[in-house]
Amino acid sequence: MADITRTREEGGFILEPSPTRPGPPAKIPLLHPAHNYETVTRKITSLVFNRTPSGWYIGMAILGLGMMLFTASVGYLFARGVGIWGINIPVAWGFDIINFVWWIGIGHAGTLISAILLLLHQEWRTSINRIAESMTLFAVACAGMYPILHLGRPWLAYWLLPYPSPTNLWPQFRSPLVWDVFAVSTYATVSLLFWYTGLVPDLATMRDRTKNRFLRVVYGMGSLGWRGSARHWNNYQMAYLLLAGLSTPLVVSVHSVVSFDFAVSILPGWHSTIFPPYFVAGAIFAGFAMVLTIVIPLRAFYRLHDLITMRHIDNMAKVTLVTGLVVAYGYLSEIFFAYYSGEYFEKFFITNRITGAYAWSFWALILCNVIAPQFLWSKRVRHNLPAVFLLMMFVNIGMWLERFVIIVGSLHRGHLPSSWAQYAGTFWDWSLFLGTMALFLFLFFLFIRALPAIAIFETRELIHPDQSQTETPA
Amino acid sequence: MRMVDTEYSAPRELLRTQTLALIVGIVGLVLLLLGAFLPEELLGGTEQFWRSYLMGWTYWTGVALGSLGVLMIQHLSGGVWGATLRRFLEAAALTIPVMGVLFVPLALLGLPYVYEWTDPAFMRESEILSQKTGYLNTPFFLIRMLAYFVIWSVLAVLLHRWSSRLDRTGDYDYASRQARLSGPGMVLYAITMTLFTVDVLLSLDAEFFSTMWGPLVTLSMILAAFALMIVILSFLTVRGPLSQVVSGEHFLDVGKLLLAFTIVWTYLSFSQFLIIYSGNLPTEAQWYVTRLQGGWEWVGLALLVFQFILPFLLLLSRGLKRDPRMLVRVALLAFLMQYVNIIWLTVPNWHRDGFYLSWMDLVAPIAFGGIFLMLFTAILRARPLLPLHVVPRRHPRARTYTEAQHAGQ
Repeated sequence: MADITRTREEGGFILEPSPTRPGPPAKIPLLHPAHNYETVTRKITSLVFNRTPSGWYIGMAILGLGMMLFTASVGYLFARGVGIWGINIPVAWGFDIINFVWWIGIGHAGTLISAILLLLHQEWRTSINRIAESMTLFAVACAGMYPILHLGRPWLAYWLLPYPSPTNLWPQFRSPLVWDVFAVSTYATVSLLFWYTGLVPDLATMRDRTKNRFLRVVYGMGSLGWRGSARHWNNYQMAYLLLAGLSTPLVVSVHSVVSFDFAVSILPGWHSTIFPPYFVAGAIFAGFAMVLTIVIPLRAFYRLHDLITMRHIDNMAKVTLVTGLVVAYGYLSEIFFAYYSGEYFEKFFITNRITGAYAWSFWALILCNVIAPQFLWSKRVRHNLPAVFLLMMFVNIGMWLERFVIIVGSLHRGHLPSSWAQYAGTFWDWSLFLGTMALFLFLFFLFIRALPAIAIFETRELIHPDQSQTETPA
Repeated sequence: MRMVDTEYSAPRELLRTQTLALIVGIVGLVLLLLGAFLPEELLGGTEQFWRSYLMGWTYWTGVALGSLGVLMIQHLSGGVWGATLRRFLEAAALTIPVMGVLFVPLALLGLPYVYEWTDPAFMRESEILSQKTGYLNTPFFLIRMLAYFVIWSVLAVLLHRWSSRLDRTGDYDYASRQARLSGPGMVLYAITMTLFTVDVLLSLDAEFFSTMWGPLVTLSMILAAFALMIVILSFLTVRGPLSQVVSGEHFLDVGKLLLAFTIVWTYLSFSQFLIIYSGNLPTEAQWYVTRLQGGWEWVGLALLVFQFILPFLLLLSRGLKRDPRMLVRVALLAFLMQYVNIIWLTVPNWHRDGFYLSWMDLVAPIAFGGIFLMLFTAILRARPLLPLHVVPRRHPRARTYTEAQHAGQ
């Protein structure tokens, strides 16, 4: 409450409350007050420089098995074609597109945290942004594979790119599937650049601290000759801010384009104008749930309580709640407008969604995405780690179900009753899905051991002698 | 305790503004009423009267409702920008009950001139429309409107009252009460605003529907409200007592938010257009087909240029956002363009074969604006222009002159 007692001339408050009245409750500091520059650096670099914990080996062993499953699934797919999956006509988009949308959505939290929260001066992003950005990269890697694997002839994937070819082949630019190629590849490129730019000063710190000559060369090359001069920092800050500005539209554009894949068609349940913002909110919802799913165990395993505080968890839970409410609004709005439209097909599709063959998936979705997050209104729940973790698992499953409801639920009952069919994933659908999960975590395990998982220099910025000044009151 | 109330109390000029607004409002309403008795050749008549009435009323009620939304958002998000604008938002939101009362004449006398669905014979004609009579009928419409205004009024009154008590007592409990109400309040707001925008604007075309409508039109109202609040803030800073507290950093904050709202408005508008254009289904596409021919396309183009492209390019400049004299012009443009938006949303429903605008359509917003601003200034004058206890004297990100020099700005 230093702010309140400060006098007006020093920048305090217009009117000072008398000491007997309670002021605003003190916030948990974003960094344990006992930390200084040295301890922050030591703690974060120790995640990489300490002896590899045995738990890491056990985890990698299990993930290695998962990677083998992944390789087998892709290999068998290449040998036999997409017939090994459960897709049929009319449900030509099954697990592949569900998982594509699921993974790409998860990536969005990273971009939001790194770009938008930076522009909004939200300092709590600092100790989680690196983890979230890495998660984005790995999730986009998993997502990007699915449409290519779904092509049937994945070796011809480059046909999606517009290039002058002797076959006079040119992509259909009116198709959102082609927009996807550009949206996702731009997203992957900018995310990678942003992630790497953020790493440069930290790689220099790693270079300076490592005792291993080989690693010094590797980190040294990665740090691009960073010397930490004032000019370096000045240019760096400007570059970082510009990249944040460039990334901001990407938070919205990528998932909007993904939503266009559905919305520009005329299939009931797909053709809905709310789709772009509702998909974006869903992506951020899923992304924050995944960040929490990763951060909570990581924080416990490496005892990062002083760097990733309950305030971080609390804030992320709040973002999850807000975006969850937006998603719930989307569900409600589809039901209301299906009724309001007066159109037969709109009413049919929503009735079928709620009571039809896949009604179980809709009600499970409501449980996971609408009912479960409501517990996050309570501060007690938000400060209870097992409860938050459990709720985030609900959201992870719920966001997968959402795409199942949208894709399968709409496709299996189109305008033509003669081509109605049921759909179910086969063994190979599930094995590939599990395989990408293993790939995602495998990359994450490597990242934790090779690079500083928390931004060192940004965390050090939090140790400002006048820290109370930088935190916005009111 | 320091006596600071006088320092931030409303300047005397506001009393003059209040009187002037009242005169403008009364003159405007008289002109409108005269117009109601003019023949159609002079672009008057009862039908025209109620249509213009709806347009003017919606525009200014939108400002009040948008302010309520921003008010609750800033209670939830925190931030200096919100605390600085809070008094203006509270005053604008508190006009909601009166704006609700102003709808009563239209509800009792004017609905058949405005909404095609009030005619049961018309609704029976089409198979799709006959499906919608359970929702689109006069009694249910009136019940819904009453419910919305009761909910919004309660929210506005409570937030206003707690803010006054916080001023008086300095008891932080009132601040946390405001935040606690704003969470569920926003949920209610989202639902009621969606239904309200459907009832008042979407149902002008009984056939058309779009799931984006609620968010899109609500955001337009928020954009209009936010732009007007910037205009008032800079007016009271440049000419009034706020210059001691409100600095370039404050304007930078609100300018950024104005830019963000502008971009989101465009994003939502374009998404709705692209999806309906690609789907090309008769019930939806006809809404845009009407608006892209017969002169209406120029209104759409004006919206694109003056509601998005121009403000977007201007607001990218940091210097412009920091200068209240410049920012106020962009904000004023955004605010006025929202009336063009109202014209675009309403008039083509009544004049499907080509551009049409009556002089009454332009008098109505001035008349309602007079009434709104009279109420607004009256409420604003009663309290200090800044909420006590919550606004820091110096912007947290304000830099000293030397710091700014070092950063090369």
